Amino acid sequence: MSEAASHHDDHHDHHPSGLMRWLTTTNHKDIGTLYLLLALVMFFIGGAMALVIRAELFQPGLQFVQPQFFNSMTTVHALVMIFGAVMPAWTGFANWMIPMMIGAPDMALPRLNNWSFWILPFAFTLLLSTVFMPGGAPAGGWTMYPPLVLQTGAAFPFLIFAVHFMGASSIAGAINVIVTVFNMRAPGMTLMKLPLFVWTWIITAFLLIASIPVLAGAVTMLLTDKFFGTSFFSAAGGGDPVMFQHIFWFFGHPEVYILILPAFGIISAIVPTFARKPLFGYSSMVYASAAIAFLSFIVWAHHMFTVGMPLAGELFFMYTTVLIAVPTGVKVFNWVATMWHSSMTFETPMLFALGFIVLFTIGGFSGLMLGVTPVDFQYHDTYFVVAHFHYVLVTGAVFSLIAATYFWLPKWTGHMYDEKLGKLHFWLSVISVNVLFFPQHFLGLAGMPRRIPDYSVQFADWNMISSIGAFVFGFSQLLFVVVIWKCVKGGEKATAQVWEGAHGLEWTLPSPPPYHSFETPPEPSTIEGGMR
Amino acid sequence: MVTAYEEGDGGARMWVLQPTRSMTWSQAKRFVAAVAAVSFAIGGFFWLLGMPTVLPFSGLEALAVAVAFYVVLRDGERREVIRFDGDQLVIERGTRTVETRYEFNRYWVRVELAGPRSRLHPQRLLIGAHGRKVEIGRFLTDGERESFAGMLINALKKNR
Ligand SMILES: [Cu+2]
Repeated sequence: MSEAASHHDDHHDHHPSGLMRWLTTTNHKDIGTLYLLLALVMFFIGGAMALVIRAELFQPGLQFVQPQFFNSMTTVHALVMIFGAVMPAWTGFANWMIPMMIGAPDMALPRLNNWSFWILPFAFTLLLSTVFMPGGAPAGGWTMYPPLVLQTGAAFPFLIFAVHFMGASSIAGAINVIVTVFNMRAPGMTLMKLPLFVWTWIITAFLLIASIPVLAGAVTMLLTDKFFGTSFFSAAGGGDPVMFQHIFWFFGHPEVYILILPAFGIISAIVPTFARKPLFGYSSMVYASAAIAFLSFIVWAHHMFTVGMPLAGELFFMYTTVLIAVPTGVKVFNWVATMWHSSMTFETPMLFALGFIVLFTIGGFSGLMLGVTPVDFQYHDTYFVVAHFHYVLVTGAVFSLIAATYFWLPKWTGHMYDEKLGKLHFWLSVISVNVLFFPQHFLGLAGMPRRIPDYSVQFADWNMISSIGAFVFGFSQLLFVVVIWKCVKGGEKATAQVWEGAHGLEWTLPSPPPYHSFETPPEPSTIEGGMR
Repeated sequence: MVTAYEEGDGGARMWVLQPTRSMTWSQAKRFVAAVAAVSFAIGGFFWLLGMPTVLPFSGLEALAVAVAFYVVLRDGERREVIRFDGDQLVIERGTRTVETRYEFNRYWVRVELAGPRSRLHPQRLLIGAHGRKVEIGRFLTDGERESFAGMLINALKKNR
């Protein structure tokens, strides 16, 4: 390490540029940017697939695609959005912000960081290329239940390996966050002083470490069942397909919190900033996050109430599931209490944060409904489930990602974004997303199953409205790209603090972070104690 | 992290530069053991249920966590010692032992806080004389680097 560093000194002007710079970079800001760009591209690829789905569902009957392709779209849309958009976006924010927030010069393992990013474009090329393979892309649902998933054509091993690569990348990212936060904090930055985004990310990292090997093990057994004659999940060979559902959801439910916990951290940063009041109940936020993480490992079977479990099991998983409402309620209460009697302003990040609080809570409530076993028997595999998890993941995770982007964009680029366009983006999004997903509650309650390309005519009206919402929401996101592009290119200069009510180490660094050289270095007296 | 030492009459000075590490080796060992225990418990649970493929991944992961902590803590033992020795400014660096050593005539030393190689990258602190340059404090934060550069320049001025 030291050898390499000293060797480097003698050639310090040698430095890759252009494409090589991005391929070889170990700088946390570069890698954060790469992650965020990948996430944005994947968001649009997954979004295009969603629009194929909504176009087909605009009217009953088959208009545009074959049922097999339709099912490929639902499957790959989910995989792309979960593993390609939301998770890499969180890792991108972690890379950019965590070192700045804890006063560290970079992530602890810069080379691992580079490697964990570049695995992802490779994994998604693998996954997306299956669309062109004989038998088409995987179409058995992102949950990959056997025996259905074993009917996948040539795409099957590519699906499994893509999932392995995504898992490896996530684990590497999680290890990097943990090692960084536990080792690189500036002196005086104790654990209970960490910004909540850092806290929620550590807890997310622990969830990844506990759950990803389970996913890797599960899909490996699918692979051996298909190619090596094992019968873990085949009843004919003495196995049990229901066991796959248990093992998958042992990973799958923590995965839901992997997608949403960092959002709680973001909202806990944005709300106090624009309410100009310290966050209400910091330590209860930390404990609530930890409680949610713990509970997430003992609720998994609420995804499979209908497989025929013993009554005691159904009761256990129902009680643990509704218990999660307690720590989640603590969080919502704290955000509302922070805003209580405050002097709020409504810039774009705050608008998206408020949208998050209201709409995520709707998703939380429909989750409670689904957690009640006898009720779930009716809702299971209907559009009510689709409505529920899209409220949690689109108006939850994605809204918080957008809020975070507007919140930190001035810090990254040194320019303010176009506030008018940002607000337009918010209002278009918040209205259309409800037009898109709220009617799906009604469809589900009326009995429309999920993952079908055609449906009975009594579902026609709400499907048409939902599809209109989908297209407006999808195209509104192009506005987001316009705002980001304009902000990168120029705009009003941002100050270091950016927002009047902003607190924390990252806001004491200049915007954009360090890009200056000194003719004469500053006198020590002016910077001593100015720990960054 | 930069630690400054006074030597004798207060004229000569020495600085020790080191990466910030919040964990000790024994804390790290206990931490890795705890993470591995949870990972193996989950892998073992599925093994007992007749699904043996989780455990090998738990093992790989525990290994990766252990290696990560080893690399980072070992890397944290890097030191750069900058001190005056007669007419020389001596820079020594290494892990647990001096691996490389540079000497510059203190009256010719230039301290340069150079801009980053690419936008958003950290600044570089270069010390050199007669066309020879050494970069030090790569593991410091920008604030620490600026502060140290200031101290070094002042010390060089004082002794001139
Ligand atoms: Cu769940």
